[in-house]
Amino acid sequence: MTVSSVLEPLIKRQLFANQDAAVRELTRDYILRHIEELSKRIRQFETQHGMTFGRFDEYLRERSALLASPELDDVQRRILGQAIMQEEDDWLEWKADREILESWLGIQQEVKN
Amino acid sequence: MSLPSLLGFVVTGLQAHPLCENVAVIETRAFSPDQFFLKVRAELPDSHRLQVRIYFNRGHTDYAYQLFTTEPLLRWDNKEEFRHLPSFPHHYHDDKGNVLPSLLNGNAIVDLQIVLTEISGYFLRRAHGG
Repeated sequence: MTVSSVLEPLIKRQLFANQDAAVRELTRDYILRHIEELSKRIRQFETQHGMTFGRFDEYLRERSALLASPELDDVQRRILGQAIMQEEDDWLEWKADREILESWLGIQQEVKN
Repeated sequence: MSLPSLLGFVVTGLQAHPLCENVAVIETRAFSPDQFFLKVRAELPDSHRLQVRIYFNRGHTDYAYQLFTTEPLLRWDNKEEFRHLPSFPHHYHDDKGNVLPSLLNGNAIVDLQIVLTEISGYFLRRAHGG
């Protein structure tokens, strides 16, 4: 199966003017799909935690400092420790989503130019 | 290490361990051979589960290995907190809320075996009421 044979049915039905136009638009759609999916996940994290990633990073830093302090009793430490484990999990996925989104945005720019 | 080879290593490593059952790839996300994310889970005895998350980005690795039931129990990760620890940024959260030095170093080939050994110890202590 060649590129031409894949695109031919689309061009024959005049969905695209030619192969170049088809490849350009399909590539842009492919990139946009990834960007939209990652943006949606990032918005979900922002809604779930009620803050931006930058603020969440600061918040988690404050919580981690509190966990390391001697002021907590055993129950408080266990509860806070569990909460931080969960929050660190979100932090990791959120960070990955943001950085992978940046990469897709970069390639979108390259394709535009 | 590429996503397919790292994923294969993690899945095989979990499947080979006697405590692990029903190893499942929950999610992979890849932009390029040097930027990818994976999430794998395995079932362990008494409704415990181990989740492995690894995010690799151009030579930098963020990882988290977490044992949990309905709540988090043990976790090894390298989020850059707890700078007082000699193993910074690598650290270990125990089930009492303590954050302790970790033997992990971000190399999944070594780290996964350390985590599985530690978890085996956790189940042994649990069986003996510890």
